[in-house]
Amino acid sequence: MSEPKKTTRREFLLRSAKAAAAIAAAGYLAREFQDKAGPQAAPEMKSIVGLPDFSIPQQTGKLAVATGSDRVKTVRAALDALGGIGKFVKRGDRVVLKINAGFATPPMLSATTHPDLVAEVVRLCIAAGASAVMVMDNPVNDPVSSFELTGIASAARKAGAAIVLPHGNLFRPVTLSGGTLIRDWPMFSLPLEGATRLIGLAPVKNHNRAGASMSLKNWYGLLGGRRNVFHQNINDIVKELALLVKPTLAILDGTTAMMTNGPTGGSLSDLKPTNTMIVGTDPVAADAFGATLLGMKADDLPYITKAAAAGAGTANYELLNPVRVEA
Amino acid sequence: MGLLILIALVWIGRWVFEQQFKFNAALLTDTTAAPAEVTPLQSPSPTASPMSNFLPENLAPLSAPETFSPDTLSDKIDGRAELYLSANVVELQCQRFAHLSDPSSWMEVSIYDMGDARNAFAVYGIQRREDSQDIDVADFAYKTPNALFFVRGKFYIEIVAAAVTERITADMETFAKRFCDNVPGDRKSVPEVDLFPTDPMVPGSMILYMKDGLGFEQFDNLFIASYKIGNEEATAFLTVRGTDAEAADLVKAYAKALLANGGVEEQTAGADEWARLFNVFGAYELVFARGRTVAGVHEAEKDAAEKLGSMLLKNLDDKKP
Repeated sequence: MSEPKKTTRREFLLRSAKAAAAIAAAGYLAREFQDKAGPQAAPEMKSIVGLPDFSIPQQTGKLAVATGSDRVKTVRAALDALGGIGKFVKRGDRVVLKINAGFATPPMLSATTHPDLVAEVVRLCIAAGASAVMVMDNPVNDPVSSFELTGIASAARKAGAAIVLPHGNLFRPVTLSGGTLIRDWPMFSLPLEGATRLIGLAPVKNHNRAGASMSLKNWYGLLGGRRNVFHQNINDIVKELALLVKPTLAILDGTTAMMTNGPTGGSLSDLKPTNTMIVGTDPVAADAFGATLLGMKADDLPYITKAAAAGAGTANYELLNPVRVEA
Repeated sequence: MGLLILIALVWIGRWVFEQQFKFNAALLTDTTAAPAEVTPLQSPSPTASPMSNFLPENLAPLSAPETFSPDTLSDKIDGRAELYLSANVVELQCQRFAHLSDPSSWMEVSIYDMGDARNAFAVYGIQRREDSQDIDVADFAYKTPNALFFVRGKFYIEIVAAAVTERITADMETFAKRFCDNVPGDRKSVPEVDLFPTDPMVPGSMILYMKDGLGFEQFDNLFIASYKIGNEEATAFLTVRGTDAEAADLVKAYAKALLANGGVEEQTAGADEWARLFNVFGAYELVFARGRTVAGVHEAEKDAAEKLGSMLLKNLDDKKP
């Protein structure tokens, strides 16, 4: 085996100079090629800042809690305690119901909004004079299977609503002013742009990552794209959603709460009858009350305290003097 | 040579320059295909399925089989994916099946390939439902009114029914039995479970923490189980290390952590020779090493800690891991 050739000082200096020149050239090229504006959405996808505000100024800070095991009766009772659906939905309104159809699971597992509740709220909106009621979500599982196997599609259609599935052309890049996560992020927003009222309908669930999934976490279903990247920052993304989405009403169904193994559950033994329907105009307050059904306080859920601190609502629901009724 | 590097860098720079103007569909749009219209539930189709070998004859696939990798698992189970990822999940296969005569009577089978039996036991134990009933289809198996959960070899299996009927319950059990008849596996793959005294263990209370057991970062592969000692509840724990010296060092490290967190070491009449006992703000911790095994009692009354510790010690001496 021959001896390796020794490098002379002259050769070493020459090679060093070449390497330095290559690095300098690469740096220059990188500087020239740098796009300071960053990636842009395609021209046809015009980005918007914020979403429409669906809250009704005269109805802010309202909260009602109805107890009972029949969610049709309790949602009616809670709404009546707030003055009736007519306070929130007027003749000619186009109402969007943002439900939780996240998983293709049967309704008895309570991983999704119960079809009986969806149907009743659709009927109430139509009775109040709504010209159209749309039921929408961007599920975690396959959308068609999710809407179908949860029983939501059938219930909503029978009650007179249209199902809006998350077709790609219904997403638009949205930025939350002052937000750090929701910046030009695709959102299932086009159905909202044609609506005059937005009502959230969510179940009360344990959530392995967020601690709980209720009204605020339900807005996660408006996100498109590779939204699971937000799981690492779940409290901040829910806080930003709380600031972004200003609904007319938040209906939080605690008739049966998923106490363990959420958000999917899978067993009836994950569930507990908690016989409570929470209806209000402040989703932060609704979730703070909902936390008690899971044996927690609002302080136990960082996204609630963050949302409240950011001005999205109040975590001290007692300040709203909730109306309590039995149904 | 330098010129070649320069050419390569220019080429890479040009590629980056072009790519940044391309619309990133994965980031900016829903990556799923446009969903079809929602149509009423279809009749199950008796097409081939990887799970067909285990399927009762009166069931047929209701949906196509789906496979999820660690990268896509959250597309199926959302926030619950974290649990499986922390236990080194390899793959999830799932599929729904329905009765040929009644499509509304369906069940979903989820088969998690966890890489090995210990990982499978970890996700099984931590999700164990209260008020569940042990069943004998596998060494680690239980059922609830609508579901069946078990470990077989490296697999953790969930079968969840959409209804509570005797027929669907029987179908779930048939599937589980056929699966276990075809896939090898037994409790010897997780030998630690037999190092615990069986009486008076709370049934179904055993959990395996892959890391950070009892909030202590050096407690990986830690098994715990709940006991009823008289009227008191207590938690026993154990972990098997590589060598006797490693076990002894771990006892010292845990003792040091307890002292650093306000614990006070106490003498004990019953266990002084083989264990260390700490009073941590009124709750007692007992810890000892026996060969390669570190074992102890967590958050118990003093008497219960000593009694359960003695039972653990005797069991370890009998079993000699």
